[in-house]
Amino acid sequence: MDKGMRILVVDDFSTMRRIIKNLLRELGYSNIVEADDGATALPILKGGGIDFLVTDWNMPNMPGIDLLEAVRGDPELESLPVLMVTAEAKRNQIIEAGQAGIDGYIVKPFTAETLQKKIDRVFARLREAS
Amino acid sequence: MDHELLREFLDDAGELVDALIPQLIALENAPEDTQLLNAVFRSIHSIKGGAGFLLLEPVVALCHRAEDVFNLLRQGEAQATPELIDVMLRVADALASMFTTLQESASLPPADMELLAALDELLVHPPGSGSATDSGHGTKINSTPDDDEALEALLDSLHRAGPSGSGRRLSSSSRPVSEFGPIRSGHPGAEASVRVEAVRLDGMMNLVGELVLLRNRLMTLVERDDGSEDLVKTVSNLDAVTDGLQSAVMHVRMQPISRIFSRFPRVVRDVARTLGKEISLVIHGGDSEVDKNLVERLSDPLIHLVRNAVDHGIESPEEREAAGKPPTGEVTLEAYRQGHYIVIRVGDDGRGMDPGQLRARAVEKGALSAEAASALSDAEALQLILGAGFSTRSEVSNISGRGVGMDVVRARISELRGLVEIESTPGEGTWIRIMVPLTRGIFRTLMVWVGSQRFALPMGEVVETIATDELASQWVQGRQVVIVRGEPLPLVPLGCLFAERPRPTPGSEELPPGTHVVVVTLGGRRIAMLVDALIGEEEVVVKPLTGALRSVETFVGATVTSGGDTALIVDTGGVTQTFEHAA
Repeated sequence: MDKGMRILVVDDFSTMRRIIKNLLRELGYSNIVEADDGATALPILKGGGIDFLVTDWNMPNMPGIDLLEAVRGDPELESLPVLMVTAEAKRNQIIEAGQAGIDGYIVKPFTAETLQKKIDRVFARLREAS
Repeated sequence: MDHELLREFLDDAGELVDALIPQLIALENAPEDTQLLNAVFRSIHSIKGGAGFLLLEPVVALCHRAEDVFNLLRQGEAQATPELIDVMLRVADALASMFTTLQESASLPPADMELLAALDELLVHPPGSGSATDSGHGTKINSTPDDDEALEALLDSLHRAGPSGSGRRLSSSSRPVSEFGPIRSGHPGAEASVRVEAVRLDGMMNLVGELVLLRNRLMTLVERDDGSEDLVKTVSNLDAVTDGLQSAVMHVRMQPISRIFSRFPRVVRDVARTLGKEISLVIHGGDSEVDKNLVERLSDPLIHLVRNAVDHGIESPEEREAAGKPPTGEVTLEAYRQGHYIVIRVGDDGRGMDPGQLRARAVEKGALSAEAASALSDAEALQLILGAGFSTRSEVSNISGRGVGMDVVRARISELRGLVEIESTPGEGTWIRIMVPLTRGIFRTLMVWVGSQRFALPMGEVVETIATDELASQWVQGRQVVIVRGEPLPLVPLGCLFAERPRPTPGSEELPPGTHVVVVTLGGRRIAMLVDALIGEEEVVVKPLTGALRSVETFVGATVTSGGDTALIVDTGGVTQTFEHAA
């Protein structure tokens, strides 16, 4: 795994961004950008250079599902790996998010170890697809 | 636990809880507002999420249930009845008090069982749903998440089948970062804002205060010693930079007054509900910014004024209708800046106050003689309610207490070197106006001599200065007054208080020649303070009084003047009271 990959962390709650960022740093990923909802994340994504998107699902302005739709609809971003951060592992939500094009999910709260496993899983899934 | 993180969480989550209370009240009035409902849900959701990482189990437990209740609302399976909102307000209170506990670095006790039970009750018997829900909601409360591996497998299958799955390749996104050229938003980890502990800002403010004093001193020295051109120029640059620094530091400490205003919908709702009144609260100017210290210190007095307006000001719906008014009363809260002051007005369209009644009450309580009372103008009579133990109502209510209100409000506002003024029209309502300097610590004063010492009068209270040679004095009802443009103003000779001079006795109408009076305004009253000489305006940094002086009501603090001497800063209200009480 390229520890230098540029990761965009999207969450409307700044404490949560900080937590995710801390955990990513703990795992050796230090190239991290933040956005506080889908609407601010999208221009950053369109600006290029983001290798991995970690996003909350329930956000104001542009919720995760709308963000995913916009990402997958953009030819430049359609293959961007996306990890969804969610509060509950509910079947319905996973189906909805999976169909929208997420590559993995993780349930809050989580440890650095779990996060690494989930990241590995996202990239394994993408390798399989390609 | 990561303390830095906990502090950030408490700040962020605290803001969410502060906002939650007015949102809940708005929701009670507009239960169909899905956007609002979603915002409330999201706040609880965010708090729960953060608390989960920080292992704050009682917070998670409370938020989890509250979230479930809001989900019922979102699904239309419950309604935001006043009873439901009551429980949710209790949740907000409980969260706020947990955050306070954590702020004090104490460990959290388990969540309130009674409150958890109330939430469970809402889940089992959602209000407005018509009937008790079946056991379906029972499983919702105790819903266990689906098995992780099963969900991952589900996602695998979706991924393979998904429309985007086939065409997506890893290669494009796993290129080394360096290929992407310049990075869009600055260097990695760049942050738009930084959190700073308030105590560090206070420290900075103190240092700037010292710097202002030194600057003032240096300027006096340069003037006195006729410094070289270079020196004068350098000092004048230093002057400008110091001003800039001072206002920059002050600005960093500013917070919108909405931080306290946001508590008022709750206060009004609760008091109105207890009293069976109908009240709408109108808020203007919540974005006005004031020093954070001030925001905290204004909170209690304002809560008191608002409760008063609801309790004493606004009539019962029946009484209002009988008087030809709409049954719903209106309480208004507004803030705006006026120069270096913030003005806050609390108004109601209630029964108003009767100056005649106030005069009678003051006489009855022995606070004033009948003559003194009748000499008061209507405007002055209204200010009587600011006196100690002055309650205008004969019956005591447990909302605004037993007349221990307005004098405390006034004392608190005076501590902030502010003023309280009252306007009222019987039958139409009352406005209370509070005016407070925007920042504590540094303010402009008028320096005067009294005896062999310098004293500083807060510039915000000074109306004008008049040479005694141009003034005549008289005795009216046992008090010496000076006549300023036809109006008699009570005279307070500061020499009697600060230089141990004898009090003037009736008949001694002569004012000392060649000196000045300083006219100050005190909550609508104007007072003439007799001083020995004027020195001039000076910006000072207030130092708190220590030792024996601390309890003296006549001073608000001390300062070091530009000449290097110590000057006491006069509490004009305290001085006037001391002088009048000794009479």
